[in-house]
Amino acid sequence: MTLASVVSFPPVARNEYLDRLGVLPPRPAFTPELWTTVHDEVQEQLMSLEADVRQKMPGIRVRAGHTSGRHFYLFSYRTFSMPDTALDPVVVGITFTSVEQSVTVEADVSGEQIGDCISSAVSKTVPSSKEALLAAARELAQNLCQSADAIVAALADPSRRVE
Amino acid sequence: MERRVVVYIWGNLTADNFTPRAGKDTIGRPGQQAGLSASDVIPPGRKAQGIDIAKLIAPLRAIPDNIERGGTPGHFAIAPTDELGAVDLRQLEDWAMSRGTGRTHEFTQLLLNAVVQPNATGGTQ
Repeated sequence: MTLASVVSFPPVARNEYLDRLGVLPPRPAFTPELWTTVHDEVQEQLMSLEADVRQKMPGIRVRAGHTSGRHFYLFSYRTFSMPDTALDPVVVGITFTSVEQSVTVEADVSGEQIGDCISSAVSKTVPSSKEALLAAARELAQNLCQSADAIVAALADPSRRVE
Repeated sequence: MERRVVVYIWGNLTADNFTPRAGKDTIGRPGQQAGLSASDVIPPGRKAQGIDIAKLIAPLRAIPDNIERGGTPGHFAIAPTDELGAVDLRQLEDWAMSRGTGRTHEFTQLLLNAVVQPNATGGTQ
């Protein structure tokens, strides 16, 4: 009879690279379709802001867009700029990032390249459900819709020139 | 344990802000390589996006300025590089051409994936 060898390893106290295994950080599972729906909700709400700004500042250029990355689910935004000027465009956007099993939703108005604060950030943390995300997207986007005057002022401010 | 090095792209998370400007970022300066600018500091009260340079995937690299040759301390140029580590100007110019098109270039997405501190603000580092 052969005795089996007993081999044991002490626990190793390190957690770097565990994100490669999907263990850290804990993130709720979302489908890409959900974020498309959330982006659409944000953009629908921002339509009235665009109309207000266009009325106050004819000739303005507006672009809608969205980005995502490994550490943020979605950044849904509209960029307002004056053609043929060197003034930094103004970005109105909402960022969705994970915080353990919840999602932090952060809205603000700021410069695209210089990052100056044009309208203070508002943020809230909501549960990871479609209903909660859509409600937060709607509420914060509606909040951003009060920023038309601040956007117009920023796009007429010569101190916001960029290289 | 590895030390994480975070550099900041000032401004927003828009695709355009994560894409070099043709004719500006595609040209190097004394002590500074061509590429998208990043810094190890955020001006007070400003918003910026923190990039973990260890999370940049080839061919992208963050190249610190050469101070002795006139570069700026704390400034980095993020650019595609060749197998010898030199900035690949052709790829950089291709990347810059995508700015303003509404299309997210693959290098823009690689950079967005390396963001570890979205919406950081100056004074809170």
